[in-house]
Amino acid sequence: MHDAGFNRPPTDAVLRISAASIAAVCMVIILVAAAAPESLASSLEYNRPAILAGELWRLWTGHLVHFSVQHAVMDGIALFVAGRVTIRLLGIGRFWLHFFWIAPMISVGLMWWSPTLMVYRGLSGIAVALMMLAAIALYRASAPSRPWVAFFCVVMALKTIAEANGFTMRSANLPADVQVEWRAHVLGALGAAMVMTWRHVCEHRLQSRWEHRWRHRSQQRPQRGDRDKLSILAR
Amino acid sequence: MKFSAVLIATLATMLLGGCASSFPSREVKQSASIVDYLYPRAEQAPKTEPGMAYLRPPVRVGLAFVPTASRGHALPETEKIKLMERVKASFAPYSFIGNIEIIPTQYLQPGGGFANMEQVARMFNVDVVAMVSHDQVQFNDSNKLAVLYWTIVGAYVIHGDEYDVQTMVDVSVFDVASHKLLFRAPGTSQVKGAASLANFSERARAAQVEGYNKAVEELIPPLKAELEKFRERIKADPGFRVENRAGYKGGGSIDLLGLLLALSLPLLLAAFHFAPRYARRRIQ
Repeated sequence: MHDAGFNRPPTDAVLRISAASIAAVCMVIILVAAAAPESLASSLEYNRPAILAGELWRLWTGHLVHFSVQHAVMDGIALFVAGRVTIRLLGIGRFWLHFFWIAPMISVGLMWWSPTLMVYRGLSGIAVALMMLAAIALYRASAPSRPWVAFFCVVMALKTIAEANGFTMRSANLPADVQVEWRAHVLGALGAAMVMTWRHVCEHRLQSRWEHRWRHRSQQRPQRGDRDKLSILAR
Repeated sequence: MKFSAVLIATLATMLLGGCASSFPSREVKQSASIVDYLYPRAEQAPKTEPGMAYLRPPVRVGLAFVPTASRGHALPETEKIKLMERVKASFAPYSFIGNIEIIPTQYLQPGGGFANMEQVARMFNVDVVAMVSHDQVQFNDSNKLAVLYWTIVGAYVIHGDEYDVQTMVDVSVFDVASHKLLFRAPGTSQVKGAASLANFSERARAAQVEGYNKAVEELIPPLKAELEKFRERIKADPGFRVENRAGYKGGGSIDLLGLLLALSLPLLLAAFHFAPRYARRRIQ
């Protein structure tokens, strides 16, 4: 089995701590949606004019607030499941690293791609990014899983195309004046693809650098016969 | 003798004429046609220009009664607003419909055409206008009991006059920018009843209002069906294009299918990553 893309498997303790930390994040997100005043959500949401005016924290916090409790619950469950799989495959450090850089990447992407979008809330962009990270890592790690992972990616792509064409399932349960922002899902998937491509390139570079160094050292190191010749010449 | 005969004949004619003038007219009609409003001076059929209708959900809808020039038998504005509130309620549950504004008839000009519709749409900030046109005919007839009106008391007690109110209400929804008819839905009703001569006009007025109420009640199921059909039609019809509104709100939302996909990941991981490792460890 090709094991690229996998770190040392995390221990049970690490897995338990990571699951607890993701669960805590999800609970906070749901509690904020359920109990926090609207003014708090408004001050944290992605708001294009406010971001352009310098409120940069919204690039991150916009993903952590939601329009309703059901919206938060659905996104929270997806984050928890995808997060646990990502931690198993990539490790807890990389999980949080990707979580924190993909969030502003999606927000900046939305500012560029959808200039008419004024307000955005929701974790689904990050959840989709984590799902794609896990899928790509699994694809690289296990050859027998590849047809299934490819099928998973095709279904994800078809779902996003359907959303782009206005087909949305009622389970999304967004308020009447809010549309499903499918671009956030595309940006999340792109972010995941970028991460995994970068990782792949880095691994190859590192591998080739080590190989080159190793070859160079082995060429430089004098052989036993050469050393004898040198000593004879020195005499 | 001759004089007295002429006098009796004159009095009888005057009496009969007086009674006849107190009876209601045989047919009362009130109508407001959408065609007369939109194409007031059209001698030929209006030309349809092929164009694209851009819909930017959540679509803002204006709701108005087609104005009429004659105000004699017009439905009171308060009743119109009550009826429009009911039509508004049928639009409300759809996520692709945003604000619904009720436009009072005074803001519309009889025979104003699309120019007037555009003015009002701008004023109320709506993209789509649902125009309620109506046509109501009231037939009045006397039955055999009307003969007892001659007793004077009978005019107060006997229900010798009958009415038959037939109403048709039609909602036509137009895209203001492209002047395109998006969809329409009709509702009809018939209200019959009888009244005494003294309170006929009051009963007939109530029947007219009841006729409108029933017609609007009949209108709502086809209106909902047309809305559903329209939602499906815009996905396939190349004449419609759904765009994002400037300043819209977006939600990053995982639906049921997304959740199922997320839940499939641990299964894939267990099946293809952990299961082979576990098996290998057991063999060793």
